[in-house]
Amino acid sequence: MSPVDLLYTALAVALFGLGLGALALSARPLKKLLGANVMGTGVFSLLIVTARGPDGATDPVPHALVITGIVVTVAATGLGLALIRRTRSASKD
Amino acid sequence: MTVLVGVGFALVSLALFAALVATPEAAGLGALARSEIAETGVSNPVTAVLLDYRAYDTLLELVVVLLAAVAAGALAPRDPAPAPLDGPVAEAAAGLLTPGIVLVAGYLLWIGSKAPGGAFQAASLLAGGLILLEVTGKTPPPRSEAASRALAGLGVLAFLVVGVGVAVAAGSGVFLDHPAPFAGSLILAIESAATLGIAAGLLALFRAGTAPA
Repeated sequence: MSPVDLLYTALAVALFGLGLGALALSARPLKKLLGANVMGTGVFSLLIVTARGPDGATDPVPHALVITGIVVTVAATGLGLALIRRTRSASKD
Repeated sequence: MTVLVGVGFALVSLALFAALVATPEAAGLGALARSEIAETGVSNPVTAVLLDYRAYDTLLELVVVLLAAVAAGALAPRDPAPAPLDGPVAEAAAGLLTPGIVLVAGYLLWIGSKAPGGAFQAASLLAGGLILLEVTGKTPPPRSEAASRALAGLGVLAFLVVGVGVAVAAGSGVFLDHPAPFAGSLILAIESAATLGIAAGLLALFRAGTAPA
């Protein structure tokens, strides 16, 4: 791994760890959802680093995975937010 | 206690990093994806992966967006809609930015066959433009939440129609196989429908939080 790859891998893992911590330690649903989003961002960053092969050529498969993943994350976050609002209005009654 | 658990997560991250650094580098699928690209009808390898090699994944991903929009729409009761943003900044942002956003979304969709771009990028941008109109009180088409939810199925529909239609017409019976001479046009048709479908799905997700005005 080149020094740049090492730096990006370290940052991606740090994002993943921060998100995992927020997901596990926070009692608030919104913070958990944001934590899962930060974890996902870490995974996407990692996939982008691994897309750079040893010969310097870019592997398109991880890039396609990340694009798919981002759209799925947006959809899942939207559904998660709707669920959070629903539980909040249910617990008010 | 929280500090202790935090230290635990830091150690897990460190172990993860060590494992990633120790993993031997592999060649990946880049060479294979590039050597077969003439068959796919597009020259951008990422689009080739999304719409040709792994078309199944992309079809099911559009189903995920549709399902999320339908599920979020089913979660009643709603909060009342917040007052729309107004004032000169909101007016100018909606009036000046939206035409540019739509233009760039169209460009991204078109350029996706040969350079970075494609249906997902175009749809995200288009959805951003539609939501900008929505929060400034200029309800964009499709005007109702139900219509935007129904339109979210457009990409799935195009994928299925093209997939089944081509399999029957070519007599090959292979679902989602795009024959080389028409592959580029078929992919652009699917991507155009997918762009509108994903953007409508994201707009439906945004609208799902509030009661209809």
